[in-house]
This record gives sequence, C-alpha cells and structure tokens, in this order.
Amino acid sequence: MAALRKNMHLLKKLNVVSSCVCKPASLKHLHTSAPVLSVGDPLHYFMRDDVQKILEELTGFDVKKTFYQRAQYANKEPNYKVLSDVELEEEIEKAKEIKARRLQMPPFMDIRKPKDDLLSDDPDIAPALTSKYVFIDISDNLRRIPVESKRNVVCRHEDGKLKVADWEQSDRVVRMYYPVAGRNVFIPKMFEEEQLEKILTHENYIDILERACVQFEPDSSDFIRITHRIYEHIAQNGDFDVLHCTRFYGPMVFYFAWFNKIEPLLMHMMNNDHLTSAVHLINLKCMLHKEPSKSGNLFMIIRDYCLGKVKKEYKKDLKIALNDLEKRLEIRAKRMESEAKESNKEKVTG
Amino acid sequence: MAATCLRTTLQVVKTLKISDVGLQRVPVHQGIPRQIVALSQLLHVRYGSFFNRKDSDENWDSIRSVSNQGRKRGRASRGKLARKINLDSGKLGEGITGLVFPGLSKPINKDTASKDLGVQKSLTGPIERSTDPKKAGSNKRKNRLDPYDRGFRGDKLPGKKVDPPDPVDGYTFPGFEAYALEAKFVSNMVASQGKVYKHLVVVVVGNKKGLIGLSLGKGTTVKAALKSATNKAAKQLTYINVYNQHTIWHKFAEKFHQTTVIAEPRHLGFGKKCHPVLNILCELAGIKDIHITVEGSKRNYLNMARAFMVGLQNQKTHQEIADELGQNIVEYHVSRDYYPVTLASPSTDVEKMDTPKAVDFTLDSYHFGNRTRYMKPRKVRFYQKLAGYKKKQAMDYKRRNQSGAMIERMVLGLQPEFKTMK
Repeated sequence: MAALRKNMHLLKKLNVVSSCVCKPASLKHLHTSAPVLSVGDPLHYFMRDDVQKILEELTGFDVKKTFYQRAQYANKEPNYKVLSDVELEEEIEKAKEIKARRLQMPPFMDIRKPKDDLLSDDPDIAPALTSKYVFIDISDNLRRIPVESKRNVVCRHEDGKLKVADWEQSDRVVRMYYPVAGRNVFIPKMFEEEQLEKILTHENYIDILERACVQFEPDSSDFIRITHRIYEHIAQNGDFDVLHCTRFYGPMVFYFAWFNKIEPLLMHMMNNDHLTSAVHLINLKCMLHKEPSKSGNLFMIIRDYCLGKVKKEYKKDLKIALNDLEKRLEIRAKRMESEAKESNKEKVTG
Repeated sequence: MAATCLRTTLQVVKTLKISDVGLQRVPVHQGIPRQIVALSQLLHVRYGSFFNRKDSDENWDSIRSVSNQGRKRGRASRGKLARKINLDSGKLGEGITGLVFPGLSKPINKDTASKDLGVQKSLTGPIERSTDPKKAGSNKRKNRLDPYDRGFRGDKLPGKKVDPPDPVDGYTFPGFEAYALEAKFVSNMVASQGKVYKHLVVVVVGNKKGLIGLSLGKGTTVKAALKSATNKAAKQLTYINVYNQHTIWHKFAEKFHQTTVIAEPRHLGFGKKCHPVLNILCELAGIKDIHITVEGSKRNYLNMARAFMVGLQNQKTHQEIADELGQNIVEYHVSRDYYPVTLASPSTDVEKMDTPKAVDFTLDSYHFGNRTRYMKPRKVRFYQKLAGYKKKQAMDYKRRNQSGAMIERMVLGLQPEFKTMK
C-alpha cells in the first residue's frame, strides 16, 4: 500500500504539468486502434524521429512564452540569487529537464476502439441483481499496469452478462479511485460543445488545452474533439503566434499537415519572413503523405509549392503572399549590396 | 384685546403670524365668559407678564446678557453664556405627503378663511426630494467630501489634495498633483513682539511618472503656507526609478532620525499596503504595488517621508548590483517551475568574481546591510488553546470544501435544489 501511495505521489507531481506523458517507455502501451484515415496510424508518424525533430525546431524556445504565467501562481513573489558564471552554467544544465518537461508535446492519436467484449453470460444470477456492478483492478503491479488508463475494469450488467466496461465507465471509475490534482470525476461543463464555443478566444487557448490534457487521455474522443476545434479556430483567426514556443505548437502543426490544411499557416509564415520554418512545414507535409522531401533554395521550394497543386480557396491569397515576399527579398538584397559596397569603400579609404 | 394677546404669544413662542380675518370674536352674552375661537381651533393662551409684550430677541437677551463690566472679567467668554435655542426647529412643515395645516404650517389667508380651514393637501403635490446626497439634508452634509478626497485627518488638511504649483519660467507643470501631509501651528519668540505664531505645512508634489518633490512652508495664513510649500516642492523634484512601472527594484530599509521605513516589492495587482503618508508618496511617484512597515516614531510625517524618499533614491538596478558584485543576478519563480532566468550579468569592463560567497549571503541581506530581518512570530491567543476552539477548527476542516463542491454539484445538475450547509 505504501508503494502505491509513493507511486501516486510521483504521478501527482508529474500531473502539475500534464497527465499526457509522451516518453518512449510509456508509449509502448499507448498503441492506437486501427487507422481511421487511409494514410495510417498518426501516432506512428508523430513519434518518428525525423518528424519529432522538425516539430521541435518549429516550436522554438522563448523564456517568456514557454514559461507563461499560470493563473494560480500569479500572486507569488519571485526568488533572487547571485551566481557566478560557473554556478549559472550548472543551474542551466540542471534546468534542461524543466525545459524538456515544459515542452513535452501531447501525443497526436486516433480515437481509441470501443470496448464491448463479452466475458461471460450468467442469466441465472440475474434475479439477484438490482443494479450494475463495476469491478476495478487496484493491484499495485507496475509491469501490468504502467498507465492508470490501462487498468482492467469490468461491469456485471443487470441481465447477468459480464462485459468489459466501456471507456466512459472505466474512465470514471479510474478517476474516482486514482484522483489526480486538477482532474474531475465528472467532465467539466466547459468541455461541452455549446460552452466551448463561448470561451474560444485567443487568451483562453492555452488554458483550455492545459486543462484538457489533465482531464482526458490523449486518445479519448473528447480530447481529440476539443483540440481539433481549437486548432480550427486558430486557423480561422490566424492566431498561430499564441501557441508558438509552447508544447501545443507541435501537435497543431502536425494536425494541419496530417489533414492537408497547411495553407493558412504557410501564409502566416511567409508574411512574417520565416522561410526556414515554411520549408520545414512543406517537408513535414510531404513526409506524412509519402511524397519526396525537397531541398535547395528556400524561396524556390516555397514558390514551387505555391504554384503547384493547392486548394482553390487559397490560390489567390498564396499568390499575393508570394509576390509580397519576393519584393521584400529583392529590397533586402539591394540594401545588402549597397551596404557591402560602402563597407568596402571605407576599408579602402581607411 | 385677547386676540392681540394670542397673536403675540404665538409670535413669541412659535413665531406664527395670524391675520385678523382668521380670528373671529364671539359676541358677549351675559353670564358667559369671553371666548376666543380660532375657527374650529381652540388655542391655549397664557396670561403672563413681560414675555407677552416683548420681542423674542429681547426675551432671549434677558437671560443671555452680561454687563460690560462682567464681559471684561470674562463672564461672557468660553461658553459661559446660555445658548439661544431655535424654537422653530420642531415647526410643522410640508412633509413628504404635502399636507397643509392652516394656522400651523401655513398662515391663514383670506382665501383659506372662506373655505374649509381644516387639513388640506397642497396644490403643488408632494415635494420632490433630490436624489443627490450632497444637496439634500442640512448644511453639514453639503460640505461632506468624497471618501477618496477626505484625507486621513477627518475634516482637517493632512492627506487632502491642494492646488498644483505655480508655473516657473513658463513651465506649467502639466500632470502634477500636490498633497498636504501635515499642518500645524508653530510659534517663535521674538524680542520685540513676544510669541509669534505661524502655520506650518508639509506638501508633496508629483506627476505619477517618477518625478516627486517634498518640502515644507510657513506663513501667517494656511493659504500662504501652502503656496510657499508647493512652490518650493516643485523646485526640488527628484527622479525615482520604478521597476516594471509598478513596484520598487528591491527590498530596502532606511532610517531617518528615529523613523525606520522597511519597503518590499510586490507582484502586479497586490496594491499598496503602507502608512497613509507613504501611500500618497507612492501614488505620486507612480508605485502601484508595495508593502511597507514603519518602525520607531510614526508621529513625525516629515521624517517618515524623508526616510522613504532617501530609500527610493538609493535603489540600484539589477545591472548595477551585478556590476558591483561581479556576478549574475538570477530570478526563480514558481510559475516557471523554478527555471533560472538571468536578469543581469556583469558588463564586459567589470572584473568577474568567482570566489565563493559567505554561507549566509543572500540578496536580501545585501540590501539590508548584511543583516537579516527579524519577523515576529504570530501571537497565540489565549482562546486558541481552549478545547472549544480546537473543536470548531476540526468542524471547519470537515466542511472546508463543501461550499465549492455544492456549487460544482449544482452546475453538473446533481443537486438541483439550493440548500445552505449547516
């Protein structure tokens, strides 16, 4: 029992940040169901090293944005320390773990398969049953139960059938027996479709995503519905910068690439002169849809993509963005040339 | 004869004016005593002596007057005289309903005499009371100030806003405000005149963006003293560096004579928790969030303000501290999971220090001059040791989350009715 308590304590500590643990050890047990899309299992692609590398590069790091102010700690005072250069390096080395945890991407998964396995059928005991009975395995076996959602939950129905409990039942029972800070037994009202629409503003994106991460499993239908709705809302309003440098930027980019909707994000990158990230995005899309990745001049790759096969709705806007980008690049090149000439002159005269 | 007597008595006692038409003389019959009937009103008549004949002022003088001799000896000074009481204070007037009582609340006229002289409603209807609290009511209420402009000394000057400074060489001090901190009466002995009294006023001037000035002025009147003080303060402006436009850079403790001011920075939205004098100083300097404790003498506002001003001026930026110590200043916050953020590192021309610091060295002790602040432990009250208090605490601990949980249940539809917890 003591071991269990210790284990729970660890989990709680982790869950201050999130319950969506995305490390290779726990990933083995998070296999998704059969592919819904024709392309394949998204998690298989999401966890590939080359994809992860691109997503991490696209996310970036900024102290203010990555470590955004959380509401519950707004009234706390900071501590100050005086450190020499050597001590500071040690501290930063230690803090790499914090940074990695803060940038841990919640996995992009498919909806899990519904459970409805019949274990046994005993109609003889049906008269004695007045309600459903739910049983949960609460043993402390880390090998068998690496994640709380993998606990065996069965349900004896009133007609005497013993079935594996469906996801809604099993989730509720697990939440009740294994409480986690910030996770409610009943799903909060804000995640209902009607209420979610009301609170969708650019200030609330991160808060909703954080809370959804704590409340749901990454492959539950609710989590997928909520995250996808927020990504769509961001694409509509062009608020991509809100999630930049946070752990939700990677899954968002992956979502756009997976469902072939990268055009709004690409235009946003072109308008802000982020050429390398634009090329990364195009390459990611090619990777997921089994097309050959491109290399060479950054601008040429972008131009080829914009003038190639694109959806009709975005064709006009993409062309305008491309022309603007070309003009800006030309002006910059001219300025660079003139500056180089001046510096050369100064060198000669000096 | 009797009618005039009645009139005079009423004038004296109630100051009512009654016209002749309003009074009717009943013809005298043999054997029946004289009667006065004020048209369905029987009035009480007091047959007296002088007070019927004299005016009300003259009557009052009979009790209040003091001879010239007595006045010189001080029999009229310091409230020794009887006070004149306003007998009209309880007079019947038009109430909220607008009722008229002829002969009592209104004089009796020709028109009213012919008609019913009983109780009637006024034609104008009920009086409209103004909703503005400043205008309604007595004179005292009219002069009442808004709580934010009232200062911290009742209806006296300290803490109140005063006129801004006069322009100097065409500069009009835009956005500047002035507050009086202290006002008192001081005296000085002069050989020719003896004791000479003067008014002393302490004034702060500031623009809420870091410029602030403190000064004191004297004058024969309060107005003159205020003017000299504000104009002097406006010429002694100093710049104060405000961290992130809301708080101070670091903790500091400053002593001026017997007054010690200990100030600490606070997070955004904390507000100002300090002495009212320092509150005004902070507001004029543009500091929004701060915690200050004052130790020692708290009666001398000038010294308190000076101590705080000196402390504010001696603040160091993070860069200055880093240069002085030759090391980095690093910030940790819970919200960032204690990720180290370097605020300042020593500039290139400064010698870097890699020697280990003292064991008990902290940035706070550095600001307090190698001392640590003693925080008084909270007092345990006598009732906190009693069994009943502990029992109550236990009950409170049981119910600590119930109010929140009930709201959550109601939101989820698990508890439809609103039931208060007992």
